[in-house]
Amino acid sequence: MTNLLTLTHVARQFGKEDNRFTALHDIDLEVNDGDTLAIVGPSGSGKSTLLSILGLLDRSYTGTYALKSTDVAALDSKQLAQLRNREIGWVFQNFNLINHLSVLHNVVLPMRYNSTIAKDTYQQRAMAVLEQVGLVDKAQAKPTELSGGQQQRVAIARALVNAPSLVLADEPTGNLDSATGAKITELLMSLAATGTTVILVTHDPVVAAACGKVLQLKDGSIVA
Amino acid sequence: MIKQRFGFELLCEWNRWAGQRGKVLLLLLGFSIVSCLFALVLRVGDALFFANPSWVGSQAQFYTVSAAYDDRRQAGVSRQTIESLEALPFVQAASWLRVINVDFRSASYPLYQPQALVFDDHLPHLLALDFPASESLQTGVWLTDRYWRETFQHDRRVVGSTLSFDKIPEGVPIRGILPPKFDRIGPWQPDIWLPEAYLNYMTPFAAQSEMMVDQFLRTVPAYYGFFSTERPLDIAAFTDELRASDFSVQGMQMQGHGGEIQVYQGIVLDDQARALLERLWQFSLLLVLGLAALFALTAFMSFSNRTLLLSEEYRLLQTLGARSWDLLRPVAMAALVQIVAISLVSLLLTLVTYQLLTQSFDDSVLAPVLRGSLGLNYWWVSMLVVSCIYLLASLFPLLSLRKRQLFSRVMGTHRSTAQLLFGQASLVFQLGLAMVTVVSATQLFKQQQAMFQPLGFDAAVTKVNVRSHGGRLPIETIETFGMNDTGRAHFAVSLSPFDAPYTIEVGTQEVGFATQFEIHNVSRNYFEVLLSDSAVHAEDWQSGVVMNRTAANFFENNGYAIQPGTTIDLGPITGTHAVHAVLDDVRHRGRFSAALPALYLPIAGKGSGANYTLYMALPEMLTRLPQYLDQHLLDASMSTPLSLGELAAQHERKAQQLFYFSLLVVGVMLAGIVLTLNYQVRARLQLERSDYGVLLAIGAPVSALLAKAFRPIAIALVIAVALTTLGYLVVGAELALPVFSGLSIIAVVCVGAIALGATYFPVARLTKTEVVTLLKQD
Repeated sequence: MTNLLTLTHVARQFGKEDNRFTALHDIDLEVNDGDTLAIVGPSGSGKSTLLSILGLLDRSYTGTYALKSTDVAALDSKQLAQLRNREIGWVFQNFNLINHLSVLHNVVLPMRYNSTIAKDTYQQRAMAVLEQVGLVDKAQAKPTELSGGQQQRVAIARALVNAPSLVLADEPTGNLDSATGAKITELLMSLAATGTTVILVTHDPVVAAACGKVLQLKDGSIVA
Repeated sequence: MIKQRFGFELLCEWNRWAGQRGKVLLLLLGFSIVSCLFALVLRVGDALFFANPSWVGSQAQFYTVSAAYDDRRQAGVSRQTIESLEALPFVQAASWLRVINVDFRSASYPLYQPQALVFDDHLPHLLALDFPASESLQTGVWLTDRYWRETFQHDRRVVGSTLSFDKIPEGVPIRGILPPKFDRIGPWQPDIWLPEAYLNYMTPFAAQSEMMVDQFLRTVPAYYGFFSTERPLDIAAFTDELRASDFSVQGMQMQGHGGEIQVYQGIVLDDQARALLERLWQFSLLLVLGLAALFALTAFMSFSNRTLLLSEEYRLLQTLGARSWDLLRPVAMAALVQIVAISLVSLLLTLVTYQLLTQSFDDSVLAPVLRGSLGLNYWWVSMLVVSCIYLLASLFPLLSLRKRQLFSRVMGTHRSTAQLLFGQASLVFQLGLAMVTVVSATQLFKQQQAMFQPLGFDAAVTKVNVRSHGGRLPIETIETFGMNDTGRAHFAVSLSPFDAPYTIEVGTQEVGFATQFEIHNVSRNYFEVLLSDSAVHAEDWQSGVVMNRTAANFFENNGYAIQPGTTIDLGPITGTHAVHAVLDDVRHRGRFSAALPALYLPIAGKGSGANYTLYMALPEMLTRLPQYLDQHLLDASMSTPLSLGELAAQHERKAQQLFYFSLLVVGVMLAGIVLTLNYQVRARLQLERSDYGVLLAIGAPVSALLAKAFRPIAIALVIAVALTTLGYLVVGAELALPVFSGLSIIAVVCVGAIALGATYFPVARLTKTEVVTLLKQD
């Protein structure tokens, strides 16, 4: 297994002076290609903070974060945006689709910021991932016309369209019923078979159990 | 669309404005209006401050020398003064013009002492006047286009014919017809242009007495001089130098007119009108800048609020890998498309408005600065400024995204302190502007009302203009024509049109002051026909002048008490007359025009003319009129009968156009303020909708919601009142504006009501939304 990312002594604090609050303490973590990792823990334990650091959304941490052997702290905002675009796919609890765009256009969106992908292939690639998530027939629909499960599958298709190394999912089944949640979990786990690493934050023990590894956080520290 | 970046990004922008497209349309229209008005203000400003008048062909810098009074009226100086300029080493060339009424006559057309603009031989060359090609500019006469159209009925054959003049047996040949731009020169609308050589025949001396004539012409202070210099001139110092110089002519003394020599930069012949135009221009510029600031602030607030509302979408795009430029680009492209739309509407508006202005104010004080084409360079400058403002307002709010953390638990609709302060400052500005606008509109209305005076004549009287090429209207018998059993006359005549008499300058050398007086040559029963209860009866009015109250006041204000029997000298052409009576003003051009000093002279002893205006108090007389005219006149033509009331109404419509235009500007501004206030309240409610949802959920009454929404506006209103009062205290004294008056209270109450209305309706609408929907944060 090849190492995908490594966190060394990562810590994150919020607030200033008297109101300083430590969200993460001295986190060390290694994740390899094709791993499936569930981050669990009670509210306020630092799950989402850790995920945002892994997703290159938060740079205000201490310690070292190496993604694909690159220290991300050394990258400027333009390089970070490029790395985020090409190596990371995001799936959110609220789906975060753009409602004024069609499903197809939502999926195409990340490719528009990726200069390595030819424009001629946008449609073909988007339709391919939509087929992977079983929504080819909904390509022209607007997100508001879809069910919650379908919207989450569109979000997964969008996350996959640039063929990232890492898919990060923040409570991907949180807004779905259990049956739909199970299907989404299955879809996410199937990505690992293609070598894509999946890290998700969840409260749901069933989802956590589906993952190859589980990281338990409490008060900002890894407890298991 | 999948492959096209620009098309896709424009589509996204179009989608992002969903629900707010009406507001965008208003913004675009607002900026179009601003651009149009700004272009017009630039055009007028350039004509007013920098460009030579349109009748001057040269773009060179000139100076004018004339006399000036304290109230900025101008009068002529002596030719000696102007000729002495030529001797100065730094003066390149000097020339002059002068206005005088001459008693020219035509065999074919009736002329009544046409007003001549007499020019120095060098003037056409110095000012590059676009005179029609002619063998000589030293002899002959040129007709202005207006005079040719009105008096010579567009007859091209008059060119080459001769005008007769008592002192020149061979007559004066008509050389040509001048382009329309020579119709109005400064305050004058000359009928003809005349070379200086003819002045020799227009002195109290015989033309053969060359020395006396020359001395007289060099002494009489009636010339307006123009000169060019090698280098820019210190006007104040040069004026002082001229005032200290002696320009008397040996052997000839003449009483001065009381004015002092003044040098002006540029061609200035009506400094009083220019001062008025300058004030109007400054006011217009202020209005345009206010309007521009209003729309700029509104655009900025709109884009700022939109950025806040779209912040989650922008955050998502950044999460997906979009860089700052990826976010800025679609907005910039959409802004460019919107600027194209603004420019198209603006261009159309500017061309139409300029056309309307030139037509509407053709004979007003604005006419000199509205002559000629618009000049699209003004529009380009205006569009450039507007485009920059629009682009900045569009893009500036997006710059804040660069500094934002992508990971944040705070909702994206949070407003920064700077945004809140800016929003509040914008409110203060809008409310202050609204108050100034309301005060201005109320003052304008008051002024218009104050100017409104009764017509002073019987509006039912019908008038007909008659032209004849032969025969003689028996003016002596007109007084009795149409007399019925009541003994009241019903038929009167005047030699000039009722609303366009000729004018003379009264004063100048003789009395130490000068102004234009209207001269009406009328039949002695004129007032009996036009006024139902006249104090001037035909049988009493055998001779002498009847003057209106304004004329009498003018004389009295200059120290000449006017009483019946007082003799006044009206110059060599009009002569000396005793005052017969003073009557209330007759509003010849409707109730909204200020009365000019007017003198009425009887035409009983004046023989006949060929242009008449006939007045009939009884409509049935119209049927008898053609027969009556056939008996006395050959080849008479009659205009369409029109009642004096209708004639006055035509003038009133014209006079009110400026008033309505000003009201339109005020209305647009107030509507803009109402709309932008309404939008700002709605945007604020949208951003704080969950707060309002919580208030409703815990049972807060509508009044509490209204109070919450109105609080920032109320604070802004208080600050705006304070700042506006301060502003009036600073500039009000100069402009004679009342600071604490009924107007101020009206303005505050009006603006308060407008602000409350603009707040109430969005709040009322919000309360109709389901509380659960308000609480949901999407």
